[in-house]
Amino acid sequence: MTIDFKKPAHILAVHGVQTGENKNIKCDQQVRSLLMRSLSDNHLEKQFLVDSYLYEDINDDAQKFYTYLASALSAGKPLTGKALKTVIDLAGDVVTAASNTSTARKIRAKLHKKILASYKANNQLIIVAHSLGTIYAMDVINELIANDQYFKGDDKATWPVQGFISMGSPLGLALEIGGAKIFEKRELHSVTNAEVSLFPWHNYFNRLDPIVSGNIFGTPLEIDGAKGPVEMRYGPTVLGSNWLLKGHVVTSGQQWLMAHTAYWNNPVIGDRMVDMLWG
Amino acid sequence: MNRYTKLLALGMSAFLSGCISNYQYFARGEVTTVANERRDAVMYWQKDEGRLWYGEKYQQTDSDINIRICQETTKIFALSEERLLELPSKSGDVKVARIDDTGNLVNLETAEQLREGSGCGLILVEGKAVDNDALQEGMRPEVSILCKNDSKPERYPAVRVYQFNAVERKKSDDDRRAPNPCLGP
Repeated sequence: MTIDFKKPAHILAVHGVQTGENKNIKCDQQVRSLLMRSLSDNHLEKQFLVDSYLYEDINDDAQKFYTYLASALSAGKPLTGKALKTVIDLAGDVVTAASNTSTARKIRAKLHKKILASYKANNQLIIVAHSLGTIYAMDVINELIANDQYFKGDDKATWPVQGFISMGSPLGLALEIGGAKIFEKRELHSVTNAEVSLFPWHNYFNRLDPIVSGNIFGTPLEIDGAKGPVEMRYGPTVLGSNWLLKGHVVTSGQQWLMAHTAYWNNPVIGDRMVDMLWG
Repeated sequence: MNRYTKLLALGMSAFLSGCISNYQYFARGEVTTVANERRDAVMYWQKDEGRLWYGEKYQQTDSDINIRICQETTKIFALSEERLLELPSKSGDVKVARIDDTGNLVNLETAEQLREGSGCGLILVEGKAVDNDALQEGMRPEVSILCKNDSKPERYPAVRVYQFNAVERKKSDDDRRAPNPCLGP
């Protein structure tokens, strides 16, 4: 089983923390729009398919008990009930990802399967992930690299994922709450026998994005060139594992949470996808 | 997002949004393909300028410079460890030239097989390799291409130094459209 680079490219979008349900998530449309714009502006025609990996319903199922509890506690107070459910929805997503629960394992297993479906169909694939979704995406890519059926050295036709774009990732945060480590540093598995090839990981971040910096009021992140928290945390070790991690500082004219969502319409992300797939 | 979450997010955003504007910087030029065909090109990057919600002055430039080329894929120059704007190599690339101390392109005696992520191009101003902060409105940047790839010849323009027009600046559109490379120099 190998990739046929002449077949249409696949792009898989992985969302971050969400409220609501799967049907409310439109990240595939946003990625498709960025890609179409970049291609049409450059007068290029390429075949591709954008899909999204949605896991909000898995999270919601796991949070059902707490949602019922919130309804019971706020009986007769609809505003309090809504607020409580939203907090449970958002905080629950973070706790699930950070503490490696059975729900997190279920989310990873489904993502793993989705990636391999593209590989089995011989299509090249890149992953574009946002926020909390970058944690699931990175963990699954790491699992695939550890499996000796895939990523056989410089032969990129054996790579189920050709590259990874992370946007607004909390992977650089080394938080500890009540003794529990949140977003613990991952040990990256090595692409073995790769002489000249490196697994490309492009990490986009905005200095005013509170999810990247951990600064709740969005005060600017201190950076070193294009190195932010993710590059500082993983940079020294990734090259030894044959990953090529590149930090990219972006701007949007937005602050705080709006800076965290503005990646989805930044044209540089569209240009990057085109470069990774056909450059 | 439901109605209440949207209202809460909008309220907080209104409170925390200061006066920051995003500007697009761009310079038009022309490159030549390895098949000796001319292609219009435009380099661009974005910059935030203004004040944060608590009044402090703020400015930040994108760390990459994208060079869009008509009918070709975009070449993305990123900050290197040495803090220079560098075009990272890809699989199978060979380096055939370098830039000397005076800013001239010099052919290498022996082509160099590169590991991915090595330098295949630089952005120059007055013969010196620069970073993103050094590029200002009115400057005339040069783009050097130092690599080729025989199995994928369309990956890079022909190896040489390309002079671009003076850098211009405008406020970014609401829909954040990047400049179209096919409009001529």
